[in-house]
Amino acid sequence: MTATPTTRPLKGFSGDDKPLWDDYARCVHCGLCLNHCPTYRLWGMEADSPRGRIRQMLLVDQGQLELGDSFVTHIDRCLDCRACETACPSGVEYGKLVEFTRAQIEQQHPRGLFSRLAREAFFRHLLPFPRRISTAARLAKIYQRWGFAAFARATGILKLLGLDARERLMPRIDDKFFFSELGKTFPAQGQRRARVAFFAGCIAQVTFTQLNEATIRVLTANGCEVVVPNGQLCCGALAVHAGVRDVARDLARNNLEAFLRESFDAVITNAAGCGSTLKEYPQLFHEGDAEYPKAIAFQKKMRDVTEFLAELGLAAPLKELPLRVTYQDSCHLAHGQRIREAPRKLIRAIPGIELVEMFRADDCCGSAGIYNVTETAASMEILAEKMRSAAATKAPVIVTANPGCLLQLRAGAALHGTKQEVLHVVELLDRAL
Amino acid sequence: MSPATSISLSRLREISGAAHVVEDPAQLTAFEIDGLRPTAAVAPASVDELAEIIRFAASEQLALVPCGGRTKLAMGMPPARFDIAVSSARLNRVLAFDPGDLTLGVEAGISIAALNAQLAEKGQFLPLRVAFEDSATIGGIIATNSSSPLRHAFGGPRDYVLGMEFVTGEGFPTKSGGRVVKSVAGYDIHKLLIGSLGTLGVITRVNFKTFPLPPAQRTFVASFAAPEPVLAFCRALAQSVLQPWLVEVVDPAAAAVLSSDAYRLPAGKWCVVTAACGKPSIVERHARDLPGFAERAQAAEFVALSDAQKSSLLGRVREFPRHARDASPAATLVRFSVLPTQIPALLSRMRQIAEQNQLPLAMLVRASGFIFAALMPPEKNADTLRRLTAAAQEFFRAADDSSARAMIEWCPSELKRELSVWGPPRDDLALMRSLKNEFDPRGILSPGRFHGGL
Amino acid sequence: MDSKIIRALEEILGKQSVLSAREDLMMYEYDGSIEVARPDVVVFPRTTQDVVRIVQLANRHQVPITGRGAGTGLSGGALARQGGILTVFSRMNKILEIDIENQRAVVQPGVVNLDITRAVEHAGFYFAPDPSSQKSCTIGGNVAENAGGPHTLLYGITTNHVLGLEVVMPSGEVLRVGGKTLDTPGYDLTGLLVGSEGTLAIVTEVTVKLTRLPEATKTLLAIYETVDDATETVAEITARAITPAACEFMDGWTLRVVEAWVHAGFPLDSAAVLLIEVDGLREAIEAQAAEILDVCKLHRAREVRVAKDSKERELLWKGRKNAFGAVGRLSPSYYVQDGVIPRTKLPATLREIDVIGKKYGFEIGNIFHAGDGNLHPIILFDPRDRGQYERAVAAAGEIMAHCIAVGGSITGEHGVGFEKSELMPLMFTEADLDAMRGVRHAFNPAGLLNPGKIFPFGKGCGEVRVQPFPITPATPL
Repeated sequence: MTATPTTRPLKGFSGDDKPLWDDYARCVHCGLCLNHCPTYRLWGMEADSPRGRIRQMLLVDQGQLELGDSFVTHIDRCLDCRACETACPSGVEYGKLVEFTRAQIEQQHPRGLFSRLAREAFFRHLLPFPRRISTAARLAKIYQRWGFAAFARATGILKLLGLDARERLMPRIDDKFFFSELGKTFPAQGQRRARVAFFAGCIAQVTFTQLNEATIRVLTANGCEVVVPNGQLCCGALAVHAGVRDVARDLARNNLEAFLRESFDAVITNAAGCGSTLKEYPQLFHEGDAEYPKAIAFQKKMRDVTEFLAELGLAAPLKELPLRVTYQDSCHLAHGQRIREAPRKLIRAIPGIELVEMFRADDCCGSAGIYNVTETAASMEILAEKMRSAAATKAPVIVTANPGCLLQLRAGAALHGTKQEVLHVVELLDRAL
Repeated sequence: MSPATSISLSRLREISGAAHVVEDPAQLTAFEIDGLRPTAAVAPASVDELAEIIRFAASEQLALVPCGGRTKLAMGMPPARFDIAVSSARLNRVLAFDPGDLTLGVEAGISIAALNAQLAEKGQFLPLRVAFEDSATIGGIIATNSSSPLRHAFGGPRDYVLGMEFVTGEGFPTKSGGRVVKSVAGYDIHKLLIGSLGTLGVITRVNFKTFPLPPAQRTFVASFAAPEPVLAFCRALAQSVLQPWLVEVVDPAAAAVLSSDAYRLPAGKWCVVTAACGKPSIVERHARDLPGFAERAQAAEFVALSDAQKSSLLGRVREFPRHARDASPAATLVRFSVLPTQIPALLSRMRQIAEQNQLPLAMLVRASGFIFAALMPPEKNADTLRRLTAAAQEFFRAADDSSARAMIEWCPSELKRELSVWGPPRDDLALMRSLKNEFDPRGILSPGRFHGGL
Repeated sequence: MDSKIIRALEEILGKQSVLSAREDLMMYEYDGSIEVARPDVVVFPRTTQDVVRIVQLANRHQVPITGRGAGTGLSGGALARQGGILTVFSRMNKILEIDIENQRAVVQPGVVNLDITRAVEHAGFYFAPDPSSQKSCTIGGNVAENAGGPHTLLYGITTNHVLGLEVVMPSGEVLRVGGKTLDTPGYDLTGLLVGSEGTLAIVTEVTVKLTRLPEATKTLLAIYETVDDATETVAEITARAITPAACEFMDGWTLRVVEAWVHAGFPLDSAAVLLIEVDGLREAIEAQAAEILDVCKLHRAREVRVAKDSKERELLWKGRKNAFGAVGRLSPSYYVQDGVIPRTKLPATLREIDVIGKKYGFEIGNIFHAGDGNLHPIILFDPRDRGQYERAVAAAGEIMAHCIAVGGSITGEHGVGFEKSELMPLMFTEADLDAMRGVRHAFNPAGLLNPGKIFPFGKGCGEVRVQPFPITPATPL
């Protein structure tokens, strides 16, 4: 062995929000996770596998590895898709580990100026503020609608800047924003079977208004009174994934207030990524914190829309939709929340639908929050593989359960010319109403 | 008798006792290989004796050939030198039989017939239904990797030999593998010894997995007018879920060789012999499904055999080499390892070759990937030997062209002067040679008998 | 390591296929075992030619070279025990040919075991060896270690399913041994190379046999109040020569760990269960299942459940195949053994293991391939406690000695690696080992391929080696 022991002591993790021995030592390095990890499959490198990343956490924690560029790179490259959690027999909560590790990186690791400014702006100065999101969206709409987008694409400027793939991933800004619906109550059709609160999202309010509306239509059609509580903010998922836990904690405090003000049968989201973080609000607090019991109470109410509808049972009559579809598991639904059957059950409930499983349906599509923007090349390779599997099903429609995945798969369908339409489960249900 | 020879003989007598050393030239003819007669034959009573004999031979540079029932000494090339035949006749015990574990350890000199009779008492057997069953020994069967029709269901010895003990060319008693059904400790040297024709070591013990005798069995013959549908039948069977114990294809000439008064295969037809074994319900299932396969492949006839018919036919299938040799004074039997899809083309090419060389040809095909082709000229003379040589060489070429591998299992000694029964040298020869050097640095174990003059 | 070698490797493979920074090498100092060894450089070949050039370079500089697939092995086989070049096959992972008619596939060594089955199951075939790590482990690793798995009871281990190999010899020469056909004349070099733990040559291509998927499968779960009843059942199933496709034992302790994860309905209050599977023709499995049921009842099985559908079957198997990992829920480190015994000795041996456990103060879990007599006692220990670690190793050594004493083996499927190299003299004499050294010498005269594996360092002693365990806890602040 040629290992040279490091002479200067390394600092390791420190402070709060750090991965703990009891959590990472559960990993028995059996390696069963490797082939489930999209980045390991892409590069075949241990350092970009869950086992390797956990090993690096351990080494950093023990002062054997520097919390430096190499470590940060491998942790940054993780999609946080949590497919490894599904594969892990030892019950390692990898998502939690990587999120805590990112919090450490956020606290300890100086990033480059541009990256720092972009992260600051996005996580601290944009996401928590609905009005700023709205303003930014209006500007983006001008770009998209007034011909700038077409111009940029036609002249190849984007390609020159290496932004062409990213530009395709940019959501189309809605004509109407969902913000106007906050505070409203939508009555149940027919007999009221449940009273639920709807979590509307942040960026989704300017890009997925139609999805939100469809969700409300499907819920009300199935006997739910839907309240869209005022004062709700971004769930904080993107911040948690990036390790910006203070922002996430503030957002959580706010949302706990907004949603626990009134009593609901459930709080519903149509975004698997948000749902996963919302359900994990307790992880943001210590057991002794005042917020902790609230977070637990909130967790118990929190439901993905597919989970909730499958549990409640569909009451609204559905039209026949003679359509072949394939379902892409959203990572934070399948791996984060362990929900696989509910969306499939709902899809199959539509008369005339043929659901064809694609190869490795529960592999990440590469969207992974903002991964497609921060790690575009990797994301695009993962997407290419996904589109091959999707195309092989010969289904004209891909169904999924998370806005991020919708964007990514729509970009994929365009980039790879598969001519497939991409819909959320509730959009499909909405069509059948 | 040279002084050196007399020293050797006295040393052998010292080790194993005079009663177990054969010196009489007349008696030694029984140990001849391709006309070469050894100076002595010795039958050691123990591994220690054997090791001592080998150490002595190594020190004196005497060439040894191990032998058992002496049924297959004509295989391989003639030894480059041949001083002592080492007989396993006295190493013929069952050393360990644990019927409850389905494992067995035997000395190399036990005959397969005797062994299977003993195993049968506990309802078990070894799937080695090989030629010369009455006298072939385990050591010889393993050293020649004799083929069994049951290979179809059980694989070859490499699949159920668990370990071995052997004495190296330097006289070291050695072992590899284990006695239990699963062991991956150390190198599987015993796999090297399977089919090595006594060139790496003298096998003293073989550990086997044993198998339960089937409570029921039935043998079927489907006959066809031409080879193509026969092979289509075999392919369909291979892709199906059925699990026959053997699938043997017999060409019309081989059908004649395999026919007896007890059972005559349909004349002029290509036949497939299959057997289903196991619980009665499994046999029934095959009896139900197989006719459908035959019909879809347009068989002329499909019959189930009576017990007497079955015994006759399967016995003759097993003894095909022996019957082919009985039928011709210059019988030349070539074994091909071949991919199933290549079988049809190779068969027709071989028939062409035989025809061009005016040699009668009988072929037995093991559907999992073997062809046994017997060239059977009615007489042995310079002309037939010339034609046999030509045909054999073309067989090797044909094998090459269809990514098959061929070797001549049996042929007149004269043919071995013209060609190597092992076919053209292969690219792993150098490696085989270095292995040979490790086990037998003095080159005293069956020198020259193997592939590439090893 | 000489930086010239690293630069030369970068020239051969490109910079992105060579790792030499300390933090990168630390990612290759472990595998699925408890051993640790750090390579000096890690390379990722994509072609046989890449491997040839790596080997030639290693040869020129007399540097050790070790192969690695996914690093899931349990005996340290894929660790560079003496440093040098670690050749990782994760990017050499193409299925080169699928030949359904002849039931063969030709694959590169980095192909994941289960991916072969995935590629051929549409045609009704599969690759039979099914090590528990089959979702991640690679064929190259399977070939090196001669991997087994639950279903090898009926279908045989890796060696029974590998027909040919392309290898790069330590000299850099490319050699093909065996082939697609059966019983190729000549020494069975394929049979020798499978299970040689990467010490003879580097495998760059593997020709495997494909197996027909059975018509029907039945999975039984027999539940027992005592361990003895379960092991006696196995002994009798074997003695009656029933040979199911798989016959797995899990003791109550392991069951409870596993059940917490899979929720397969394993009974939490039982002392042991047998997971028995029969497959083949419908008629065959009905008959076999009935016979097995008889034996189970005879040996006082409390209950025998039959998996009602493929979903339940998969769940039971998921529990079994992930059992080792699930143990991680209880303890940060475990030591799993791989001894084999005659099946007639099962009941007595499990009692012996219990005694050894008590002697050393461990609760030893037992989950193993009972049908094969292939034991996997699991000893839990806390790596932060060195005394505990040493006692674990000592207890394991005693279990192994017992296996040998009853005529068994020190490893049934995990390989000797460097974990068990010092145990080899328990099983083999110096002459046996010398013959093996001779084989190694014929292939690998300079000893550069995977040095430090299989063969004991010390001469002729059964001493137990204790490795310094790498994971020391962070000093409490």
